[in-house]
Amino acid sequence: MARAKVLLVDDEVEFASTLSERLNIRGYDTKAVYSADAVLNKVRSDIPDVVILDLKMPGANGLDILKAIKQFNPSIEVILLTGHGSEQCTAESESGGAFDYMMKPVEIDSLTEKIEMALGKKQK
Amino acid sequence: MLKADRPRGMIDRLRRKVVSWSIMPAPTGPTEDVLSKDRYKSLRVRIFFLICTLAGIPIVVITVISYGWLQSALKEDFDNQLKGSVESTRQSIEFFIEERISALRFLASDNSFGQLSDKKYLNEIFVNFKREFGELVDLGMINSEGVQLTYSGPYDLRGKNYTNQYWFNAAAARGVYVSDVFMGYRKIPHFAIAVKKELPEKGTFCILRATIDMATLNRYISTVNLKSKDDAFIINQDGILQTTSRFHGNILEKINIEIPPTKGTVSLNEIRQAGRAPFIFGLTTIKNSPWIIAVTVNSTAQTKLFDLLTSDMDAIYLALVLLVLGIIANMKIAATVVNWIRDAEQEREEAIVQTHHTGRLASIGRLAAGVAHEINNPLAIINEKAGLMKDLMLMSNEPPDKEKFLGLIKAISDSVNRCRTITHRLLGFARRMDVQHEEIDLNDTIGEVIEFLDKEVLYRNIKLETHLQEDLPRIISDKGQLQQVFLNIINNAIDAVPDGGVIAVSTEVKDRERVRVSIMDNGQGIPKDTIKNIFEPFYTTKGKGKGTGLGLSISYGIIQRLGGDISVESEVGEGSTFYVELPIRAVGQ
Amino acid sequence: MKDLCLSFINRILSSYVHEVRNYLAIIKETNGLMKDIIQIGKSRAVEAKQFLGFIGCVEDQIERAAAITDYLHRFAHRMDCERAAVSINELIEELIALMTRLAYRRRIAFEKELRGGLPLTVINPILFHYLLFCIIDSRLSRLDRNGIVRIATSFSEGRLRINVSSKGDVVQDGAADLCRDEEINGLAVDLGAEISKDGNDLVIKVPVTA
Repeated sequence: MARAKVLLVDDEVEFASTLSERLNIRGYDTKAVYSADAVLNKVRSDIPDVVILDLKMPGANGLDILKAIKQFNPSIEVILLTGHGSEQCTAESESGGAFDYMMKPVEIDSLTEKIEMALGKKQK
Repeated sequence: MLKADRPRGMIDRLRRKVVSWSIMPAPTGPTEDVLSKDRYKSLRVRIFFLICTLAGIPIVVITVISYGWLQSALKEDFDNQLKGSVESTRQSIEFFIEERISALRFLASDNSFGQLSDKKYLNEIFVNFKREFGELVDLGMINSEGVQLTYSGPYDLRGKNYTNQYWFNAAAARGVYVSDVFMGYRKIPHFAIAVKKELPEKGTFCILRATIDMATLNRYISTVNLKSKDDAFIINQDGILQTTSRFHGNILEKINIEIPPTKGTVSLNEIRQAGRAPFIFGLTTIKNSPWIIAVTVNSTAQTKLFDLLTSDMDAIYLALVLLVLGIIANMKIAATVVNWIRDAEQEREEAIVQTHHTGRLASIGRLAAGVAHEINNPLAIINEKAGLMKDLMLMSNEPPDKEKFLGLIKAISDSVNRCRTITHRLLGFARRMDVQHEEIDLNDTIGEVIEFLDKEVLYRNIKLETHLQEDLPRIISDKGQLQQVFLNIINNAIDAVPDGGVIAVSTEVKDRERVRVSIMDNGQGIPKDTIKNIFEPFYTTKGKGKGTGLGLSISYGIIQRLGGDISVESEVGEGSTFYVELPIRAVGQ
Repeated sequence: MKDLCLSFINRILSSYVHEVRNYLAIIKETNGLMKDIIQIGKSRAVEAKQFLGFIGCVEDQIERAAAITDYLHRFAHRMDCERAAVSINELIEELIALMTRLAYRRRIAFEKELRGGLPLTVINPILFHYLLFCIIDSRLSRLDRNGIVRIATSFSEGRLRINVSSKGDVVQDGAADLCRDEEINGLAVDLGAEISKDGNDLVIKVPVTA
């Protein structure tokens, strides 16, 4: 069975690369990009199943990237990563079309659980 | 470029000058306590004199006007009364004389020359006449040669020749004559009335003459309403007294007053003579006589008014009491007004201190929140690295590689260091909240502020340049408050520039006493009509709910208290530059 | 009072930093130990069982650091505005979390009994923090080692009740309070709250809308 494609977007290279490796160990085909400019190109070229997107990146508003991804392909599920949760976060992510959001530092098992739920929704 | 410090237009400067003179002495320096006792004491004194002047001027004006009006009203009343009294007396005297003249004329016309020449008959007439007019002294008939043919009276004047006497000729010419007063044989003042009787059958005339006692006229004169220092008397046209005078001489003496021209009505003249207080000289002619009624009045309306006012000591005491009460009331009012001002200023100071405090708390809160955000990243990295280590051990088919692990361990270590740096910065900031003045490196201070804003700047792709003079002297100041100011200004610059904009921070020595920090941005700039207000409290150009407009006014206040100055230059569409000048030595050193 | 308020924030921030640093220190040492073991060890492979323990420790510290950082974040945002609708329980949790190190230094523990479902109250959150801090700090300074400070919340007569009590030996010459009684009363008045004594307990009554 083809592995689910996950695209990880975060400007913290050490974080993104390590999490990417951990997700790969868990059977996902994970790639990481570290800048907002590269995101949309990667999304267009790889067409991932799930995008894990950091909200705060230099030179870009995470919600704008979310909107662009959804416009390109609404079936791509996006999980937002944020430093701190708040009602505003929930509202913004829901209105932007994100599947869910998670707080850093990320609990890997919770993340994989959310990825599976996103994939399940996608298949429906 | 438009330069703006605190608003200092000409009108504004003038207004501040007037306000500062008339209301509040301004503090003499940035560190002077605006709520000092001396300022309020000075203010109380100024307000007291201001109230006294403002209240006193109209009172004085009204008093002067009222006094003058009252004086003139009293004078008019006095003059009218005087005139009335004199007029009344004149009329009485005129009537008296007229009556006597009429009576004599009647006698003359009703009796023949022959009857009048009869001594016995004349005596009878005299007795009847005297019965009617008590003041009659004698009665005589003089022929046209001027010889007294008959006489009835206390003297023996029969045969006396009056041909050369003025009265005889005057009576012969005019038909009637009233004489001046003369002393009789018994040194009693009399006057004479002579009437002419024509004798057409003889082609000649005779004169009937009566001598009248002045007593009645004296009585009339005494009815003029006068005070003790005043005088009323009758004079002739030459100023010779015809009746007794209290102050101006005896009968038949000339008064020492120049007689002004007389009119038909009573005239009042103010006379000034050397060595004497001015007085009123009132006079009017008496018809059918050579006389003038005269009055001299020393008690004028002015004196009367003054006497009136000063005679009532109760009123004087009351006025003094009211004056003292008024002064006390003024002092109380001044104290109350100053208390209101002081309370208002204190409230304002407290409000400013409170808003400053609130602003400070808000900025501390922002910093602490920023730190919390920042720390999460290295924590997340450590988490992933450690997690990967675990994964490699649990999930990988091959045993984990040592080199790989060492790499992960190093990454963890680096992240731990990063956390430590962030927390070290936070600790430094926290500790600095207590410290007031210390020797600081301004470049380091600015550097720390920029570090706090690193993430935000990076996030928006803003280019934040620094041109910090290397050998900038260390300054004595409050690092915590300075950081708050720079944070505020740089945050404003961040808000003003678009994504990808430029902010440049530079430091330099301005002169021997000051250093200067410039914060330049290429943002939207500040319009001319806005720039003069930007340091005012509660002035904001941000939308509702986005800014309280406190930042710059608080920053202005902080820099002022530190002995420095903030100014701004700006051009719409090009950007703004804020200049912060600080003394190298703290104020007072 | 404003300087004391800043001083209180200073202490809270310092306490957080020290707390986090402890976690970081443990992570660092554990990390260093793993490095040493790898470098010393002769085989190319890493000893799994031992390392899993280390990693577990590191993860625990991360969790603690993340948790307290979350409390710092919440505390920091309490300074955003002067009046806000807040949960008293949340405020108390934050403060206790951030004061844990201060209490730990004196070997004093916190106990919480925070009743659920309490209505929100509209107050100045940082002022409430400051008031509660003063009260707790005064207890900490008077208690001997191994003492306990207990905070309980409830709702009665239309008001929220925060009951601060302590168990343990009292130290007569304890450290000076941050706030004196007059200051505590002044803070309560500013907050619209009422302070009373209930035996040895101190009770803060806060209306639902102050």
